[in-house]
Amino acid sequence: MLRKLSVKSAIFVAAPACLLALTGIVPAFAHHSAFAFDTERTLIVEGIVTEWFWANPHCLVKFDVTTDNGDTVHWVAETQAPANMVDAGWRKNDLKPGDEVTVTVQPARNGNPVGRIVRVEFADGRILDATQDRSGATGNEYHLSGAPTD
Amino acid sequence: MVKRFPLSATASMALIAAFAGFTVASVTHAQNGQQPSAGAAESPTPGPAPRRDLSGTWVPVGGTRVGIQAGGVQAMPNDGRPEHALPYTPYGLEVYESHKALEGVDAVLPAEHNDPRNKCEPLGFPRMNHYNIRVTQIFQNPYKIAVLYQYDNRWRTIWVDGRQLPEMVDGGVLAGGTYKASKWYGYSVGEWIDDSTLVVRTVGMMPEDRVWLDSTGRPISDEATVEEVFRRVDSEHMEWTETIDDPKLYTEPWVAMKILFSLADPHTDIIEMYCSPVEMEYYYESFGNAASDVETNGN
Repeated sequence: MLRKLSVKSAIFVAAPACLLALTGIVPAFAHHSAFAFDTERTLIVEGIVTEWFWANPHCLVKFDVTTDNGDTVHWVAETQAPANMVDAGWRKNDLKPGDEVTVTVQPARNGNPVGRIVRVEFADGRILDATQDRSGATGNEYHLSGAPTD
Repeated sequence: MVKRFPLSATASMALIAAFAGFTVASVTHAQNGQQPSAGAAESPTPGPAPRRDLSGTWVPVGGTRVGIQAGGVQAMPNDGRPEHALPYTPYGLEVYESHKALEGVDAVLPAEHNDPRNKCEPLGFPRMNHYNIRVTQIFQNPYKIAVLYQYDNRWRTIWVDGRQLPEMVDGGVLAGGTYKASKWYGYSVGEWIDDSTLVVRTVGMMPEDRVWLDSTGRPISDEATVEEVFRRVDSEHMEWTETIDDPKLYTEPWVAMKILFSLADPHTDIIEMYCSPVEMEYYYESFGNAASDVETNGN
């Protein structure tokens, strides 16, 4: 059974919890509309990656967040499809179980621990930004690797 | 082999200006200076259109966002604006209202949809033109033209061998007097009306209880005739237009798409975008249901 967690609670379990104003650069999602999510604000949540699901329709990051009282909350956050994420600079093996991450999400309106990823920051300072709207890119600079030249 | 490069910013903007009827997204994209391919060399000035040749690897000039069409068909997004309202017949409206889409003004929560796409059913034609039409390959010979779509590695054939468009009959078509059953991608016949313009008509698609027109739940039926016009603008560009004529669902024909494409580098290796039923189910168990407040064991 799904464990319910209010957005308010999620803020408190996040170590550097804060709310940020979104700047309107969230990419378009092709699979579903955004109205299930609060696109007017973001949450920053710290956790440990348990799974990185690189697949259609959208990639998912699963990560566990430990609350102040020791409970574990299972979060799931989505990006766009792999084809979009490659163009935004993400790779299939960017996240691994055990990675310590700080995930900025647009949370679900229903208060469940799910959201749309704005960015992921790793413990070593590396950042994956999901708002790099390169929707004009074809990924040629990636796809052409190894191609012969005329 | 001539290596083709995407347009420079200047050329892109000039072309988009020339096609002012295209999407706002295209214009915004160009104004942001984002290019189809980082690191590409300056493109030469496009030359004249080749004679009767659509072959190549094509990408929307306005970028991926133009082809995704998440908010409905590109020329008539389902955004609630009066100018984008479709001329439904009473039955057409009834079918539309029975569709629970994840996009558009009448979108439902992720767990409440009934979009056949979410079971990885074939999108069929013409929805394939309105769902993630990204990098599209076209091959041709004197007899037929093959359109290879990126999404789900699907393809369709357009006959250009002089045959007649099949006659629609109940449950399929009569092609040369022979009955053939309805197909997901229908029966397409093309005719060059001049050296740079191919007009394609398609009939014999699947009925409205199997396919949708777009991701916002607009319907399409097995009585539709879809007319596409592929027009080579110059050596680097092609305009792809689509008109829906479906008297079962719409009171009059209407234009669903008008997108300008440019040739990509012929070496472009295209990313797979398969619809995997296993992955789709896992996505909804893990995420979509939770976002919709549906109890699940997925977490």
